[in-house]
Amino acid sequence: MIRFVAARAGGALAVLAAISLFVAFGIRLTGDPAVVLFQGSAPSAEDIARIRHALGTDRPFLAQYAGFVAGAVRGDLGTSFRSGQPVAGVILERAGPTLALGVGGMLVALAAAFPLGAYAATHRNALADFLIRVGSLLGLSFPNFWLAIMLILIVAVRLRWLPPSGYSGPASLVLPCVTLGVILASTLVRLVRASLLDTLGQPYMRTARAKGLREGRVVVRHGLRNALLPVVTFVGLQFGALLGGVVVLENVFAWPGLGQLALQAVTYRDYPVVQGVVVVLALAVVLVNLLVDLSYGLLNPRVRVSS
Amino acid sequence: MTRRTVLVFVLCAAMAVGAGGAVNAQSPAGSRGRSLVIVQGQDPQNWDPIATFLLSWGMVGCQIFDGLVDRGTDLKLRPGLATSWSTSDDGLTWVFKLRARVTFHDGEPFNAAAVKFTFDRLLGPEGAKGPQQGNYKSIDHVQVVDPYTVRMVMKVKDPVIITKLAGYGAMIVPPKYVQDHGGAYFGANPVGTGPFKFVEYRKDDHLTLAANRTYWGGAPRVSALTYRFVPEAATRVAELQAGRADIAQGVPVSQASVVKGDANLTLLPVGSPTVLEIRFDPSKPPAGDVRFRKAVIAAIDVQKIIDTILQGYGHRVSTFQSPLSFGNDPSLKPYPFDPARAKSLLAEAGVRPGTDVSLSFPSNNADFREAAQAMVSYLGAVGLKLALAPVEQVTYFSDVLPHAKTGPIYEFGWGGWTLDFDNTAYLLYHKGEYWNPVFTDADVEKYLDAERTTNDQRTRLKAFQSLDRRLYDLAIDFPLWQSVNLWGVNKRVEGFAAPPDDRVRLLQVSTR
Amino acid sequence: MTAAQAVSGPLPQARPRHRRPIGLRLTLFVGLGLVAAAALSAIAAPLLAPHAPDAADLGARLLPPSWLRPSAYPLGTDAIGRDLLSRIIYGARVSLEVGVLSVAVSGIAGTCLGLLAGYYGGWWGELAMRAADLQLSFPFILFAIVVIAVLGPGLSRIVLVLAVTQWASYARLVRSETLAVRETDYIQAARAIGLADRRIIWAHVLPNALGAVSVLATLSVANNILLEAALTFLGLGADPSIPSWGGMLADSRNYIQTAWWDSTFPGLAIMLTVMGFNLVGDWLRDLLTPDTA
Repeated sequence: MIRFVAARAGGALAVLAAISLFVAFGIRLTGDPAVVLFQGSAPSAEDIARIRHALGTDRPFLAQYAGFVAGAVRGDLGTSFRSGQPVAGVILERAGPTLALGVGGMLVALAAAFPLGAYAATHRNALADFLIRVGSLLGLSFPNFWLAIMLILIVAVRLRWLPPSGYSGPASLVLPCVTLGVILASTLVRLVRASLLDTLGQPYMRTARAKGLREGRVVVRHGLRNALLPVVTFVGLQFGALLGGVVVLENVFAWPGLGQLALQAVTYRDYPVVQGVVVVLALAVVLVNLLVDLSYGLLNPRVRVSS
Repeated sequence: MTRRTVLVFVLCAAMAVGAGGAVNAQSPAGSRGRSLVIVQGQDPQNWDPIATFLLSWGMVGCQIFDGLVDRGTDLKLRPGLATSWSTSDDGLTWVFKLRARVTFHDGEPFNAAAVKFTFDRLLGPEGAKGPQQGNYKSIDHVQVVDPYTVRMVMKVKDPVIITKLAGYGAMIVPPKYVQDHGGAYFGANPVGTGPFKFVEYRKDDHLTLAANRTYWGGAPRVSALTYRFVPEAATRVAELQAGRADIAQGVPVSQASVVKGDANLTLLPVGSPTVLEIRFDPSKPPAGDVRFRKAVIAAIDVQKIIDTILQGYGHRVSTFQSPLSFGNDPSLKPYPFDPARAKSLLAEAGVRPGTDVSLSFPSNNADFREAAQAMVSYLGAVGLKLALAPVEQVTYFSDVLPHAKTGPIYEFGWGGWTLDFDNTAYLLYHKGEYWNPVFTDADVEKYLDAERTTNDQRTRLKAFQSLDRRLYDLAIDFPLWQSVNLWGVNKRVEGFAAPPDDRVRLLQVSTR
Repeated sequence: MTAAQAVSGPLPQARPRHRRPIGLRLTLFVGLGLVAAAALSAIAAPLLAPHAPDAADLGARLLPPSWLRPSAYPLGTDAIGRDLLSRIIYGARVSLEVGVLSVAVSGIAGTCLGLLAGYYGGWWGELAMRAADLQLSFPFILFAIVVIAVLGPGLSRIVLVLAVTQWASYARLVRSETLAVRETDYIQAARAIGLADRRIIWAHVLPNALGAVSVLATLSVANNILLEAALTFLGLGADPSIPSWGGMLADSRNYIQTAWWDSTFPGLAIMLTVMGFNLVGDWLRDLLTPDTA
């Protein structure tokens, strides 16, 4: 077990190093932040040279990258080109809203997906099952920004129940989390249903029923627990993609999170922030994947990776 | 089961931590009293006046800071922190008399030392890190004459220096505060002499200002301002409709009827000095042939586009400047719409029907995006197959355009802030300038030179008229329209005038 | 159980196949029908569409569907005065191309890598999985912006970005399915008696994996059609005059309150196509991983 974790930790570090290198290199292919600072005017060559020197982007690539790595291991992710603030502080400040959005959305999705998926599986091919499956398809068919704008128009503008956007308290969390939750739930419902259908037909389930356990207990105790495996897999696989969807939602809801930060930083070629955000996000994804793999071993002994 | 409960609990805790960081709830209009909420699309992220050129800075920054010279909604210059000024005969020295009994928001006195500090900072190493310094290179240094008089010594004569002193970079900053806290802190916690003072700021979320009761121009009638940064236009309009915002910047034309149709809202259109055009890159065939260029121009019905897609919110122009600009020739009529002539010109130029051409443009301009799609149809009608190449905005202006990576046709927009065609014309038509990597013409250079080397406005005007004519005949670009910006305002706001330069002026504004 | 039985008999988890209930066959036909309709739309667009998809008539902008106000445009027009129905019919081309092509490329590449990594394991397997980690950790939007900034806008870029960012999901999924099957007595026995690896993988490991893959693939087709919309929303889209359902949704978001048809009908087109793919995918999954009814 220790060897397993240690090996994975080593791999994770390698992944982080590779990603930071790719990002640092890739973002420098796409335009000069010195020039971008002059948006709205026309810079002279000396203006650009002066700014490039002040930002440190006139040094060779490896020197810049080495500087970034040296700082990163100390916890110093550099200083934003645009705002002059330390990147680590900026990221910490923005992590809260994104965390709230992601976790809230996931909770909404789970709260909807498990009951609905279970109901659909246990009433297979009934009308309810059909409606739930069609409903889940609806959630998959409209882009996230469209769902978000529709919710804003209906709930915030017509009904005036909630604020349309912004990060200002529990009420403002509802619309973004529900939007994200609906989208996630659409896939999760189908996963839960499919997994439950698999499990409920297994011989050991017949045994459980034969033992006299109530159907509900059987479903929940054994069925849903086994459904956790594909759900967890899904979360692990989709975590990275989730971040992409969060970018759009944060944009529509004016949500001051990491998604917005990343988008703006890339748009304005704020290299230190881009590098810092990508490394932090990659770390999060790697950690989540590690947790998923570990839980695999716990949830399904057959899959335990032998060294 | 226990494991799952623990997991759920952990998740809820994480959410609570995240949500707990949220700030005061926004409130519907009724409960806001004498405070205003303004939504704008961009957060410039740094409130230090030397750090940026963005228009979105001006919307906020001009509440916090003042310059020696001020610009009104009519775009005319008037005294700001300087009550009067005079210049020497050779134009290399300016003397400014400063306003007395003005204090910064942190209590420091405004005086000549503060002005000197500001310009030393702007022209020194701190300013070298930002884009504003380049605008003020004509200044050599500033001297204190007495506590309320400064002398500005110039390196070269600069006829537009007074205009530039109303710009961001020249806004006066508090010496003690900046020295005590440093530039980075100052950029996130700005202090100035303006009508509103800084209260708090959360990046990409909101910024709160409170009224400065001791403002030298009189206390504002509004008690507090909250700016919210909402990048998506549809959401900004939703905020207006829901009554949670009082003023919205950047209402897209597509939503104009929504705002007009709302009983609580008013739509305020205002013409800006920004003009849009499409330009040709003569190094990419067939744009090198003047007949092709004239054909493309004749094929597009710009007036129809303005009337329909822009819903009339745009003014036709014949040269790349607004009617307000000095150098504009009203007698020059815009290019006529003539598809038959377009076809014959193309035949003359040997451009076969079905030829592919491309139009590059920044993808974020929603109005132009629609106009471009209409152009596909217009050019298709005369036998040209137009492909559209939308490029992400920052990439477009910082990489694609200056390095001539566009197709034969591309979009360009420019704000002529000096209201004098020289600034635009030189950057666009002089050989090798930043925005003009390819085009050059001997006559154009001649006229540019003529208008630049004299101070006699009559001579300059004649040079401009010749320049306008020559550009018209060359058809190197096709000026389309002068932009009209749309602001949405809640009817509880009184006295708000939509600013042509995006600098919101709120001193006279009150709430019902 | 003899070795022969072990090889040719059913897998321990396999259960006797039942006749499919009528419901299942119906969903298959509905699904195939919807997918076929979308494909037909794409192929025969010039024959089906009443107008040209890029023919603008600025005097006929934002007209409602013709049953609300009679006009030559059955579903109404968009902000440039183009016929909505024609654009939806032609839009099938782009949406299907984006959705299917990206999934095909990433699915095939990812499945192969996952099979090999799971079955053989070892150093190369670990390397492949680290590469997959790398790909999954790299934020999609950042990758998209950099690629499109360097290569320029266009549909091929979008397909490229989607394909390159998604192979890793298939690889991880297939690898885990392969691992699960590899450890069964059944497969161990097959290897023990010397059955060729290739045969084992092809005949026994792959069908198990394909069940999960088909679910992911059909989900991804839907997802990628929507990702194209998201990329357009963020300003990274392709030529807006070429109709695509996702692009139409992104470009019409400011008209939701004044011209609801411009976003509703493209959205419905996506929904029906997505439904079709998912129904087919469900049937495929049921086919490949049998269960007791």
